Amino acid sequence: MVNAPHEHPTPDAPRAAPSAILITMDTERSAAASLSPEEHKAYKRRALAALDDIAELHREILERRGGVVIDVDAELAELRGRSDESSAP
Amino acid sequence: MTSPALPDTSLLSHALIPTQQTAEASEALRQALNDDVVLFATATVMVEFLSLLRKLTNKGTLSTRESDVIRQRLSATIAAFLPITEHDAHAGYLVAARLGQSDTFDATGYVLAQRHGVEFWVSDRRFANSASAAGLTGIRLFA
Repeated sequence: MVNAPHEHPTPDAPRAAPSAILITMDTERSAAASLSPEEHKAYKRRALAALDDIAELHREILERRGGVVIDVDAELAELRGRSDESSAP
Repeated sequence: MTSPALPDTSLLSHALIPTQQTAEASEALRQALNDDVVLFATATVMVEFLSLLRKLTNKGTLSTRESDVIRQRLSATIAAFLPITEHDAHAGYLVAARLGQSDTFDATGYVLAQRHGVEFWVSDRRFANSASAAGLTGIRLFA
């Protein structure tokens, strides 16, 4: 695995892109599990409500489009400049 | 006890835009939320997702109102954003090179997920297969 140390070059030092991968868990930046119980409860409520709203919106969109779904994989591939590829294996 | 996850753009797109995989992707997110998973995102995922919305709106595939609703609901499903540094971006490039990827989007997401101790959720089978073959861990495929 790769490591990208958090170096802070001095103004005179050349900035160099790392040439080897090093990924280490950054505990200082690992705020991922830092929601309080109240924040988590509020988050879960609003996220589930958003998914309910989205389900309703999807019904509207599909009705308008005559049931035709959107090929998001192809659109994303094109956006990423992968028009000759798909997300298939 | 909550567990954090970082969905890639493709999984979020399938969950929030009506596609062939929407039912499964939406259900996966709903199940995750019920299981106390907290969803995180990166700036790159947001920019890419919103670019996709612009593309679909400009083409007339989605109306402006539909895109706006999806955009707002996207924000509601994300608990917080993981910051990205220059080093993360370079590490993403190196991971992408190792996996033979022609872009760094998912590879950078993987780097950030690893950095923050978060599981990386993808619906791109190509990326998941490449990562698995390279021995990368912490990736969950929804497809």
